[in-house]
Amino acid sequence: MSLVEFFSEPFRHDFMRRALIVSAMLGLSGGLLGPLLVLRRMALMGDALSHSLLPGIALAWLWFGPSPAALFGGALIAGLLTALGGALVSRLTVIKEDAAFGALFLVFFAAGIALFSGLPTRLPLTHFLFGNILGVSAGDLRVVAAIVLATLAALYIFRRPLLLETFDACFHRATGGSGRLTHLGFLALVVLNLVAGLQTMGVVLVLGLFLLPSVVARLWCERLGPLLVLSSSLALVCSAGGILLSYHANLPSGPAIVLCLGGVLLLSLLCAPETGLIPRAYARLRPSGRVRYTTD
Amino acid sequence: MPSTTHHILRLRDVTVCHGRVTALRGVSTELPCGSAIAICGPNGSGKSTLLRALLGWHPLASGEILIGDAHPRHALPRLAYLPQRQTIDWDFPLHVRAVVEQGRLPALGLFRRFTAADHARISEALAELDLTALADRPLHALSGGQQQRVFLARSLAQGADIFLLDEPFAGLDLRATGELLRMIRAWNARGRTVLAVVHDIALARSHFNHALLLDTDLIASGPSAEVLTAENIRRAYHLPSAAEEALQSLRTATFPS
Amino acid sequence: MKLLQKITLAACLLLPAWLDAAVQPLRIVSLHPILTEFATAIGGDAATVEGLVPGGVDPHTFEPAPKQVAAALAADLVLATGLHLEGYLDHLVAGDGHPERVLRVGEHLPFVLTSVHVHENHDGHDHKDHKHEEADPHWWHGINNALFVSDLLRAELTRLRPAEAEGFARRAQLLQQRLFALQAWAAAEIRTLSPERRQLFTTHDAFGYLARDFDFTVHPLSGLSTESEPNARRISTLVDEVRRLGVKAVFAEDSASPRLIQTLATETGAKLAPALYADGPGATGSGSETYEAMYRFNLSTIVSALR
Repeated sequence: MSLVEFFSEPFRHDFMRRALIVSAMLGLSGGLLGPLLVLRRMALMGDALSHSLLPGIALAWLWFGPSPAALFGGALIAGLLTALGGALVSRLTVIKEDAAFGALFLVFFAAGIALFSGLPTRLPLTHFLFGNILGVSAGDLRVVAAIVLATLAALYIFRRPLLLETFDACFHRATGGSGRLTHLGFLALVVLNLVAGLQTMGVVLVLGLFLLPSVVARLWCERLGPLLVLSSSLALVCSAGGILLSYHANLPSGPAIVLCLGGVLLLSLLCAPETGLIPRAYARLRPSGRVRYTTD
Repeated sequence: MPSTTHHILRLRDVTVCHGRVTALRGVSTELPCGSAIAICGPNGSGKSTLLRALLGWHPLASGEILIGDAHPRHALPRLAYLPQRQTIDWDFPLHVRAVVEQGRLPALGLFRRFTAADHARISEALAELDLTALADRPLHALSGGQQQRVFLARSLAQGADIFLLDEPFAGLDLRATGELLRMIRAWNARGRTVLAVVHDIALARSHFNHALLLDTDLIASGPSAEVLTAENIRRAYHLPSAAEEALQSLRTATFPS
Repeated sequence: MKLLQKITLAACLLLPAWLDAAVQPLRIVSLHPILTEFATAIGGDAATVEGLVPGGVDPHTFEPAPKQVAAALAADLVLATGLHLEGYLDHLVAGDGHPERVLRVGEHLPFVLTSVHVHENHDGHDHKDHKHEEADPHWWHGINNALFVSDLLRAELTRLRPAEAEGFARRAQLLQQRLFALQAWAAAEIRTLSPERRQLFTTHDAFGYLARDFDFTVHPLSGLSTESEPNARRISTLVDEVRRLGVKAVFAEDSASPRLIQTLATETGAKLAPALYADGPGATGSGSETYEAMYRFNLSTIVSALR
């Protein structure tokens, strides 16, 4: 097949185009939120959060039936309660945020399972928790677009307090900033994006998009500006690349995108200047002195 | 002797408690504007707490703090705080100039762009702390003293009138210490007030014109020569009288200036 | 005569217990609701059947609770499908000293379909080189299979309780008569659907036997188990197929996620038919709790949607 066909054939159908657009949009969001997540040591939050959505979904189903809007709303509320609850518990008690969050999400998850066992549906829990990027509808696309736009706007408007609070919360506070509001606002933004991502793309892909591009970008960039640009660009490029790969190599699309990012990570670990293995090995090859133990 | 000494910081019977532990008890003093004030005392005597209380970060169990003539919460832009250094992630992808630029953010708010005047102040701050050559270097590539100067420059760029420095001389070598002392004197000359937690008594006596000696209670406050006497120090630090010899040597030590 | 009276009294007291031991009903544990239903119908009073997997639950992903495992180990007969439908079965009976207690009905069937799910990446090469020849365990969609299984159950129960042979045979015959009637109804029903419309696009490859009975071509999204997920190319290919064949409807299933079959429907404009019961009868209250009800619902839904 020709090169043009290679790129165009997978996207003949609407559902593939939607998959690409959703992945690209959430990749953009994740590429910008990801570095902040990593810098704030919240990298692993997403996986735990995904399970905490269950009781919200169960209650929404119970009260409103299988309406997608209600289910999304329920998931969002559950996620926000978990994240914000964890933050508040850690501020008000001696318990650190990761433990508080861990405790809360487990309780939520258990409550969700219990609630689900009483619901009139036999669909598996995973159907409610996680989406599939190939199953994104036009409605889903609109919701994601709105969320990503809102995220970009919020990040632009509050970029200064956010960056300052991430870097030096003490200074932020000393200059009149509200660390609490900034932190909670950031959490809310992350939860919003994660929930949207989980419900449309599933857990592997959304966590991959929110984590890997920033990790890779950090290996190449010393400054925050270029890091954010590289991170988002990587997410976009690997989304497209991953979908292409999944089509031509018969792989599931979500994991294919993450594998693409993983490949870039491996390459970066090997080749990035200063931190990469190859440049370091090369530097060691150059003649230099040595320290040795001797008996004479 | 100046006709009136304007007191920029006034504490009246300030008590701060952390849970059941009392950190500061009944501290009352007045600190003159434009002076260099050393805060001394043994570990755990409430020195850092005092600085943070001035920022409004600790609820006061009793008493009040007056800054200028406005209550602490409204005076924040005039206060610059330099904590003990550990709370920063040194691998954060920022370079020196970017950190100093942060000093201008409180004045600019969410949206206003950096003007030429802002950039001028930033460059001035970098120059004052001898960081111009290092402006493009990432944080993790700096030495401890250089890192501390970056944060001092940021406070300078902020345009603060009162500097609250928590153990600023910790980990500084001879030259850096000398530089910092010179800077403090220059700031005083321009009317800025400096409060610094200092462990070296000789340094405090020779380079700070005011001193506060704390041991949860206020032992003494006033001109440093009057406050940092052997008697007061023995009381504050709970030294046995057999340590008179040590105190003797402290009294006569001088610091290169 | 005091001694004789005593002996008689003792015998009278012990007799019920002795009789009890001899005529205690067979304890049967079943791992599929249809097997539960058949075993209950054939066993009658001579057997107590405990169904571990209720209607509406996906048997591919079912996991037994500890009490259920204990029940299975204590039973006289364990009924399962086999053919890898029950992933946990090997673990369940691993510690068992009597493997003959477990009857894997699927492995006794005279004809077992292999997977219809084609691996596209082999571009039409034959499948000699990869060992993916999987057997289709969804035997209940073929009524001939149901008839065979009913007889198999009768034979097995008779083997374990020869004294009750007559009762088992009688009840099995009743069941089989109902199955014959069902078969007649199905034949009449399917005649209303012309052969070129017999294209079955389903969520997973569960309807192989039904397809074989009535000359359908099956195009499943997933393979034999609901756990395998279709990739982008498979969905694309199916979209093209639906359009090419002019298929009017695609089918969701009650215990699998409808997300991707919905994508197929939206993309092609085909109708998404009401969910079929692919892995067994529906839950209590669904209206399709018995084998017959399930089969009728499935076939009539398929026929009316595709007509």
